[in-house]
Amino acid sequence: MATLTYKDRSFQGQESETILDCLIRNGEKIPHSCKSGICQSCVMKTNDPVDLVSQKGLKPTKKEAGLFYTCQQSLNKDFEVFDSHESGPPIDGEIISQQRVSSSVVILKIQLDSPLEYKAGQFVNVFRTDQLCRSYSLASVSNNQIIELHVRKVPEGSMSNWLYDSNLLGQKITLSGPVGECYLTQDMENDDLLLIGVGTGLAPLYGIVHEAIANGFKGKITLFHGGLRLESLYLVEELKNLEQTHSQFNYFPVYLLGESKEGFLQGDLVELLKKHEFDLKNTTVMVCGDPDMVKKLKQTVFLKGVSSKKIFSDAFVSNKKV
Amino acid sequence: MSSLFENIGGEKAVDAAVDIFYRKVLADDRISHFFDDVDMEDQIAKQKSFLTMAFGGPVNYSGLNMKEGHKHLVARGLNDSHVDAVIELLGGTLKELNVPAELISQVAGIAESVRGQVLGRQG
Repeated sequence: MATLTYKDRSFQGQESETILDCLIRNGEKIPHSCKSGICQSCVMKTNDPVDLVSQKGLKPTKKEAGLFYTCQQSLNKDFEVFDSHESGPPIDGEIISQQRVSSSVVILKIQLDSPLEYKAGQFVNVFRTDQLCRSYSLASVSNNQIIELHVRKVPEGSMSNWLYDSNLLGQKITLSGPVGECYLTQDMENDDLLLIGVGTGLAPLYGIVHEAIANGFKGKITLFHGGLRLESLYLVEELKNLEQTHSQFNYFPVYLLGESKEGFLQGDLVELLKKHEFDLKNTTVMVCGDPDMVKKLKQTVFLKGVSSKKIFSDAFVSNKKV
Repeated sequence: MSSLFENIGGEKAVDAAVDIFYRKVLADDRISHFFDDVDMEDQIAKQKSFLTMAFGGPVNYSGLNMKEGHKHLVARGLNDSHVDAVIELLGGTLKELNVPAELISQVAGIAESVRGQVLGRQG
């Protein structure tokens, strides 16, 4: 069996165990969340060679520095690992607003003690004082010291239930990040934007819409927000108002199940996208939300003819059961 | 004498071909089911190394060899007819990019040369 060394301690690995699991089993407090190699909260450092999958999506400079996802690396040989100080220092903050906008979604505003450099559309890892950690998207515009997060309450979700149910005004909370590839860059400025969000996949796109408008973005901005039922949609009024006041912005709320209602599209988001006409050459597409839907939606716009270089996405993975 | 890779247009040709080729693959009922559940970014990276190889360029397949990389697909029924389809779509892609027929047949030849490995018949 392989040996794992961390802070002068050595642990014996078990059959098909990941480095993260081995550390946790031995009582080490390692931040982690998605266990899918996406949220980057469990990143550590090693000088030993790692599998490709455990560095997927990391920037080349980070790869070279030996950073890797401990949740993706199986302990298939001896490893020595170190804490990574590269993922940015944690930042403390306080919850100053907690607004339940639907039966399952709460919008939190957090005042940060120090500035966090981020782009609208990225996400952060949120730590509770007991080190429980989850990733949530930033719905606020870039580099704001009051950040906004949209949290969907999931069944048995320890963090999301706490954030939704408890009265948390004044609660201290710690963040790290930012992470994620859906944000505006300069080379998009002559494009139109097609934004497709499923569930709380709206959050990053909501931030991007506001940022694009605030920055004087010239192109068309089209936002599809899909949910299972009418009740799953939120911020509908705000977005409809925004649509009224900004002619460049078009908003399509879509739900799958239930009876049709004026002002909404009812049906399968993928099928609607197949029929949606837009400038295939000059449109940047961003897709956020549930991983299976993200995969399908990306493929749909790609097959329509959008260049793969103009398709960006962040898939939201809920915490896998240990 | 310049190489096939240079004649075809090098990395730029790979860049131009990858979207067209992958779109053809995803839209082709004969083989699309092998690719349906694969992440697009991963797959595009793989298609790029495949195209680079087939265009006679520097081979830097990441980690897995041809045989290992397709083992799970062979288990799902990957056979000669699917390789035929891929080579056909590759030819169609290059034709669309106005690559001369003579170069296309050279590319097909290179793709053909790894058929045995892909299908797990040889190491």
